[in-house]
Amino acid sequence: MEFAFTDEQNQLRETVAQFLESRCPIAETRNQIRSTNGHDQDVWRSLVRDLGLGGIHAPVEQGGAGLSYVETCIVLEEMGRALYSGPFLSSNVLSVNALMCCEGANTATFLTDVVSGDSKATLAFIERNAKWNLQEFECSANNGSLSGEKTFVFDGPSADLLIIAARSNISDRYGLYAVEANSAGIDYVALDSIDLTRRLSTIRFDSVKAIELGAIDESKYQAFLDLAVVALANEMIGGAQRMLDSAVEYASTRVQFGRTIGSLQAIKHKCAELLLDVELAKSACYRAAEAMDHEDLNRSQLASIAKAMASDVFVRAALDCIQVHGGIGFTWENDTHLWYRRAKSSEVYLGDSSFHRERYLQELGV
Amino acid sequence: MNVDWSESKVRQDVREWLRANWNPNAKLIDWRNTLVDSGWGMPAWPSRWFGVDLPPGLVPVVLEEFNRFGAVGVARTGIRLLAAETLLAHGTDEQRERFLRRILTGEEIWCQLFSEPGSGSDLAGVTTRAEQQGGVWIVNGQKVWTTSAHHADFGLLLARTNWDVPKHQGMTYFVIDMRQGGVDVQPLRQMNGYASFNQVFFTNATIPLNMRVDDEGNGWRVAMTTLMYERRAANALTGQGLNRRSDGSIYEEEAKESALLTEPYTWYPQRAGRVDLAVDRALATKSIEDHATRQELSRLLMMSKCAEWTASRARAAQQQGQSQGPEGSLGKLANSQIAKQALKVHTMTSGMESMLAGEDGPLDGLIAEILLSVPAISIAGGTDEIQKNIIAERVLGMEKEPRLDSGPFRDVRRN
Repeated sequence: MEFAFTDEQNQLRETVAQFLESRCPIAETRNQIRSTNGHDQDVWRSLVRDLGLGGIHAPVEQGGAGLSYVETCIVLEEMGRALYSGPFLSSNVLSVNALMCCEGANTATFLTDVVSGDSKATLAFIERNAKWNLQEFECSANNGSLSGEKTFVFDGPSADLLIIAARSNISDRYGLYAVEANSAGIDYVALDSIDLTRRLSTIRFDSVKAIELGAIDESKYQAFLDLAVVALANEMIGGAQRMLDSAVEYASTRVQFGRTIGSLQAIKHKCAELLLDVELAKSACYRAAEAMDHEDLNRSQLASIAKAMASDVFVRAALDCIQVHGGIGFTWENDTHLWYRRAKSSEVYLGDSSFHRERYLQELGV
Repeated sequence: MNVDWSESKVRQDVREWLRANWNPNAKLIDWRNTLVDSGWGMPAWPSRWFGVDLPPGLVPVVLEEFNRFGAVGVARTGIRLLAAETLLAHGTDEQRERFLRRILTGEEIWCQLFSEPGSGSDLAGVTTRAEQQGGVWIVNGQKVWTTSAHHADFGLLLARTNWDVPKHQGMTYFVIDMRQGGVDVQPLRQMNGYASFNQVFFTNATIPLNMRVDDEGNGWRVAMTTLMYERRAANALTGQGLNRRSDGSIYEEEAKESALLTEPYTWYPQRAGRVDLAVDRALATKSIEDHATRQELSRLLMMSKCAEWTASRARAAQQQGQSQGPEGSLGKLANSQIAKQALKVHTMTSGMESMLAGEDGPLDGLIAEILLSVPAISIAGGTDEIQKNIIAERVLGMEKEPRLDSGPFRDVRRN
């Protein structure tokens, strides 16, 4: 099976890249770091409404584009490259995924609202001490009332709709619940995060009115996690590619000893090795993205390969990029640390490379 | 001859021809001569030279039909086809007349005389000299890493003919008769114990004037043609599986021919690290229960998968019309890293048993052979360092290093 993007997919990539370049260059993202929500509401709205990216792989009946996960991942890769700070991943990918796997009566309406951009959603599923196993959840819903604490929530305060994974009132059963963000009994605590371009928060629920979206079991939950991991991995390789490009560009202009530092083999070889690892990781991410639409493939294996490869290469690319820049690379003014922060943050979200190497072997059955 | 080839026409023509001519009990040499005359042995070649001018895209159709019949093709082992393609591109008609047929029939064996003890990565630094004296070229010097030199009838020789011009301009390409007094072939033993290559010493060896390939001083350009075909053929070196449809004496003759020339490559799979053995070894030794081993094993399997997918992406890009360029260097570098990782995993799974070789060693010495063969992979066919230079300069567009060897070769510092 040979892998190549279609002309339409390449065109989508180009369109998104150009949009991000003009609407949220890194200088603008730096401004957003100091803003209340961490992103420009107009840019996000434009992505959703003008470019029609609100639900790329969501069904056409709910206003989605009805495309595959590959297209979603292409857009994410470009966002990772540009270090886009808006709630696209949290609302238009992860929340859409969660809503798409629910059969509840209200789900279609929520999905339509999220896809159209009328509503911004985020997922709250991880609990204190970074527990994300279903059986470890303590947060629970009882007769339409949800209580507990969720953390590592992306873009929490700017969301209109919270989608929560919690225990149901039947023991050992779990469900997804929707909560209006302005409901009584919700308490947001903003977390100080290493990644300045992705807002994290803890959310406490005290008998909050919740609507059940549908039941989830272990296999549904794993499928959801695989989708999340693959989305993130594709975003990460965009960042890794940007770090490589930045290192090569700087090495090709910076002159020391009467020559560009890029003519020195110590720098050249570092960049060549990085290119190889970026290409290997890309192959894993593209293959995994493609597999998400095919139930017959072993999606968990492919998701774990993608996340392990992307985690390692993004961090390394950012570190190498800082190193190639030398002293200037360690300054606040230089942009490299913003990607390095994203790399370190994404590296460990839903499992670092060691976790996924182990998971891969287990999925292989050895 | 202008033929309007279509897939069905090719298939039909080949099929008819094979039906009329293929005989599994013919003598190999007779069959190959018939084949060479027909043009179906090297169909993409010009019809003037043993081909039928077939568009390269249709060659697989011919191979499919040969396979269907179980028909033996032209000789392909060793570097013979690199020699043939080089002569086709740069040789004189006299040279093509003399050599091409016997390359394809397998009657004559060839070797490639490029690398020298003093010029490895820097191939253009060859110092084997050829001087024109009394109506012949006189050759003196030493070549190394020559596969099959002890079997070879002829060699492709890159030699220096002018020391007063820059290095790339002072070389000339020759065909040298290996069966002469001035040529001494010695085996070269490698660190893994095998002797798959040779050293070749030239002491006043002679070359007739008409065995110069292309112009004097054009040797580098001709050598590039040979190397281009070498890269293309890299994956096919160890012979191709033939579908035997029936018994026939011709198959035994062919097997003997290919055994002779593929013998040097028996350890090549070990050189690549034998990733295929890794999981079984981890299970057999119970090191699969060790957390650190699991991590390294998993890393190895992932690298190997990703390299496969990356190669598939490169092929797809090629099919879409993008030229195959330095991606080859990326693939080579990937294989090298995978082999080194496999080395680590085999050592972890075998533990202290890794100290043992031969019959005392794990898997009857196979693990030891892996441990002792892997170091070759990051050197042979261009070192990792050279691949990284190629990637950095041609893919990433980084500046070349300033050169210290651009003046007349006579004044360039060398070994």
